[in-house]
Amino acid sequence: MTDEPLVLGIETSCDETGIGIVRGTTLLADAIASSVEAHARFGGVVPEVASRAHLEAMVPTVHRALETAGVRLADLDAIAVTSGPGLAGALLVGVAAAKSYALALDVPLYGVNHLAAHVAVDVLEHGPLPEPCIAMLVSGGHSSLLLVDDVTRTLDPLGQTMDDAAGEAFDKVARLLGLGFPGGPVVDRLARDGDPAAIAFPRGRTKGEYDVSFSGLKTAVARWVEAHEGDIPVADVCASFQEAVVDVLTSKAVAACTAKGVDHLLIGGGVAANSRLRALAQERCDVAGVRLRVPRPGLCTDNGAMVAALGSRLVAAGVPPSALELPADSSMPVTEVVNA
Amino acid sequence: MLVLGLDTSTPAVSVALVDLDGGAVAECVVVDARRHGELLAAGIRTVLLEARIDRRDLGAVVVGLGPGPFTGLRVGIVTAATLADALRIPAYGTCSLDGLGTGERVAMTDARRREVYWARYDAAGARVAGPGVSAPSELVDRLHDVPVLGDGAIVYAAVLAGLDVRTEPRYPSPALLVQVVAPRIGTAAEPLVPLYLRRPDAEQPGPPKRVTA
Ligand SMILES: [Zn+2]
Repeated sequence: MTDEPLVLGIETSCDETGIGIVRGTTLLADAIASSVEAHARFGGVVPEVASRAHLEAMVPTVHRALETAGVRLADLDAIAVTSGPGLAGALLVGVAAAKSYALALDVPLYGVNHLAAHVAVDVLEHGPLPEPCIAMLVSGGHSSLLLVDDVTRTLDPLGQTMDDAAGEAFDKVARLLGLGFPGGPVVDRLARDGDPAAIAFPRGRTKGEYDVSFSGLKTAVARWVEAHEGDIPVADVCASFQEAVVDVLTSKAVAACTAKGVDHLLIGGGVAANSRLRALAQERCDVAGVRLRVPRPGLCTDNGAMVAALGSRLVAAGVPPSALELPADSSMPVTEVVNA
Repeated sequence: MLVLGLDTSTPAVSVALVDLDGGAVAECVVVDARRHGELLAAGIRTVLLEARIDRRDLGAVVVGLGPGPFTGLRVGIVTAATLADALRIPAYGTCSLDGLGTGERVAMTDARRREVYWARYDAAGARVAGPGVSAPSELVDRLHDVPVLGDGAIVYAAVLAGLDVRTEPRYPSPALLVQVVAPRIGTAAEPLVPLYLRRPDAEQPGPPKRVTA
């Protein structure tokens, strides 16, 4: 097959139906249908609501992507799909759709790891991945620190969250302050007018050197708000909470780069859009002599382009495709890039 | 015309290839409530291979729209929708219970949570009530004059004691679903809307503590 394969990527691991089309390392289309508004009144993603939305959005979103890319289904060289980790019922809709397209078009099917796709997406914006690199993936669903030698083979997990994901901590604190869902963007915005040193929130302690923990921080914010008399200084709470999160994340990520002798840090996931995380990561990388790579926000959040980007790499690397019996694996380990 | 029939509304993962002029050509049914996603596409490949039919020779797809446990149900519907899309053929849906038995009957499948999905059919096979979801005990009074069949009736046989409960067929037949839909094939395809009958389980959170913005 060509080393510039035309790949359609399907992502349905959470609440976004993402369809991306990539030729080689060139992004042709990245169509998204989000059900986030349907979840907002529940203060978090409701799996059944997400799964229903994926089913409705699938074919229309595929066609939106095809139109944008100016290609036809018959032109595709391969189909890639997130087969895990994620919400089981939501993953299943994408996996079933991917199989059906692969079967009908008679092209190879790749069931890929969502976290590896978050890493691979950066090739669409910044060119070939610097390998090895350290990847920090932070979102509402994950907080992982990974050593990436070759994104088409396996990722080596260095650390992860012991409890809440980073984005989940933002959502929970936003909810506590009555700021709505999702919490990340609004906390980031309000924090700009606050003092990050106003309240000394704890940095969670963990056994693993590169693990993180946010549930103690969330509890500390709740206790502080509960105990505070009078109007709550929301901007200061947001800024101090956010500082605690990004301080822990960036210090561990840069420490991992130094310890492993790796000179590139890549950040992905929805929380990578956080302005303070980007700024502090840049500051600390500069000090440590590490090059920082962060894809633009649209490629950091869950999308189909990242799945297509990884699929394209896999085809080019000659990795064998998945079987038609491919399962959706809600707890797919990060050491597994492709589900055989 | 060759038509592919699918149903994933019950523990059975069911595929049939039907020649509208000559009946069922091949069928693949595997009962495994937790593996619809793994087995369905492979089942489609199996019937095509068995019948030596090229996928491009299919003229339409028919799928059972439920009711049924949501996760498995969606596998069948999204498969039908995307297969039809990729092959540029129409897809049609119908209530899955329409393919469970023939003639006058009440068809029942297991809805879990001590309930059944059900529908009633007249002697001509037309659906006259349902689909609905109810506790089997609530239906008993209406079932004295009619055969009751399907895995819902079998699972709750104790509640339905004394009624004309049949042990076969247990699950909807994908070939029968194709026959039910056959008169519509060739007309414009409609969107495939699942018959969920139940709303998603989700609780809205209580109001947060008052704060200044
Ligand atoms: Zn993600």
